[in-house]
Amino acid sequence: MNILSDLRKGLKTPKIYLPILLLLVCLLIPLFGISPYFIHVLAVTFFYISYSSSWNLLAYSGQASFGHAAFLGIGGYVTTIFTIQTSIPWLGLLLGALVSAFAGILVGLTCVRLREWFLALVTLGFSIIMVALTIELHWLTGGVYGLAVPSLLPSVNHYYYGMLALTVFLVFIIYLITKSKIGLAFVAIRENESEAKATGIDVTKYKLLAFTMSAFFAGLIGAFYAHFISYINYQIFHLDYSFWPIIISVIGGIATIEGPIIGSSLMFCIIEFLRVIRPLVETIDPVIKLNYPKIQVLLMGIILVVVVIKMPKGISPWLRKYLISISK
Amino acid sequence: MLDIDSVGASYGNVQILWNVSLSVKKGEIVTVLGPNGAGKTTLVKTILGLLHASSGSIEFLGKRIDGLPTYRIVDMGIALVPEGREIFPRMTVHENLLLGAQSKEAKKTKDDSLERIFQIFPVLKERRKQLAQTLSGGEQQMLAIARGLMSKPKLLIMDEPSLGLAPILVQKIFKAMQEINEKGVTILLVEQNVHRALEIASRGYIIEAGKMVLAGEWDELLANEHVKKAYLGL
Repeated sequence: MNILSDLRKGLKTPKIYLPILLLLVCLLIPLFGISPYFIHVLAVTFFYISYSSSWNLLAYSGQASFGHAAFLGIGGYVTTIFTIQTSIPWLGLLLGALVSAFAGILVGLTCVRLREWFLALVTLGFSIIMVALTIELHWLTGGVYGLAVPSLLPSVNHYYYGMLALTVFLVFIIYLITKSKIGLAFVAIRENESEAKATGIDVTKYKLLAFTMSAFFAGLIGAFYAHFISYINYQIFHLDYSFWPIIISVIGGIATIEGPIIGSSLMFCIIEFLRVIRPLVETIDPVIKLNYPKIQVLLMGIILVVVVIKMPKGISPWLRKYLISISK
Repeated sequence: MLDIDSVGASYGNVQILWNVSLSVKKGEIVTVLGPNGAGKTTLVKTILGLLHASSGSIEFLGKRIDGLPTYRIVDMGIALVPEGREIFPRMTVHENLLLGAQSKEAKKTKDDSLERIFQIFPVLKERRKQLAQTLSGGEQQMLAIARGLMSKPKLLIMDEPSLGLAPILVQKIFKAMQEINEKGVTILLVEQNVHRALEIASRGYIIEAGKMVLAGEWDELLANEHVKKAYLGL
């Protein structure tokens, strides 16, 4: 087993201690009597880490989805409807992931033949179809009013640990995938698709596999997220949910394991910072007070533009280069 | 081993190959010669299934392979070393080699294959952990050939291996080709370097403007007036 020996080797290098330290801090945080609001924010950050990681796995194979919210929402709705109908807890999570993976196969079947913007449009279109479907099938989905999602866990602290466990699990699984033979094939397809084909790689199979796995993970995390926020409606398919994983991955580093972690953490630092300084800024001008949410979005946009210009591959590759340059 | 019978191929509406026939027997080195734009690479693509033949048939080991997906053809034992040293530049030499072993059988024997390949190209062993883009042109060509060998091919198709290489490297590559052939791999060599190709090949075909214009033993071709005039500058 190559992976195991790699891990053993990894334990001897200092690189592995950073994630372990980070994990320890995350495990201990709720014990310090921090406000439930902040715990909630951190849990949402974990959600975006794992959700963006699922998107990033697809990017790892050189494909991009502009409608990943479709898979997130399918996971969420399936677990909600299943749990309400049967009162069986937890099983819905797996069911949501499986149905989402199945949707991933269907979308993937059309998408593996497409490239770049065609692929982007089909995935985007799929998420918009899901909005129409959930509104029209109101006997099942509650229509525009949505559904209250039965809770699985008693407190926000429990959800915090649940989200943390799920995130660590997903990131680790995705890490293993990228280090395996499958990951190697994904990189080959991303780097040079026609060449990968000539080498004898079944390109269609691997692209479809990437789609299915990505949809499975997005569905799983979407299912748990639905229970966590305890309410679901068609807005889960909204563009916001499709574009956040893209923005986060682009900022953190597309097709890297740590990219979504860095991206999510940074974005939520910024959002929280903008929230904290809100009372200060609002005293400047009543126009600002009225339009503060829009100004938040504007600031995020500016940060995104700056990152893309200054670090076109995202923060993580830039950081790696920087660390290597100072260690010399 | 490989029998191509009056194959035609086109890109969209533009027909490139017309009634091309060719055969390769087990253990041979056969070369396909021709000028730029004659359809040599198109022929290679058609054999590999990267482009579908519009007419005619292609048989490999007695089975029809035209219409099969590329990975199945590679599984059956045909490997391509593509034109222009198309390796995966941002992957390591080792990873590039592993990608060559896609079929179950090739995966099982990959350590064995690696060892044999390192015997032929010791420099690749030294540079195993380097990114492929840091190799020299000649080394990249060796890597491309080595990757082709990882699939344990019965037939190795080489598309212009001498392209853009210094004469001394061309000599090295051609020597390696002979070595590979002696170890039991049949080779179909597509070349513009007529002199060198006919030195190692037993038979040759000449393709011009998408049609086979000449076929024969290596010495026949070398003695042919048309070949002398058009290709050897004699």
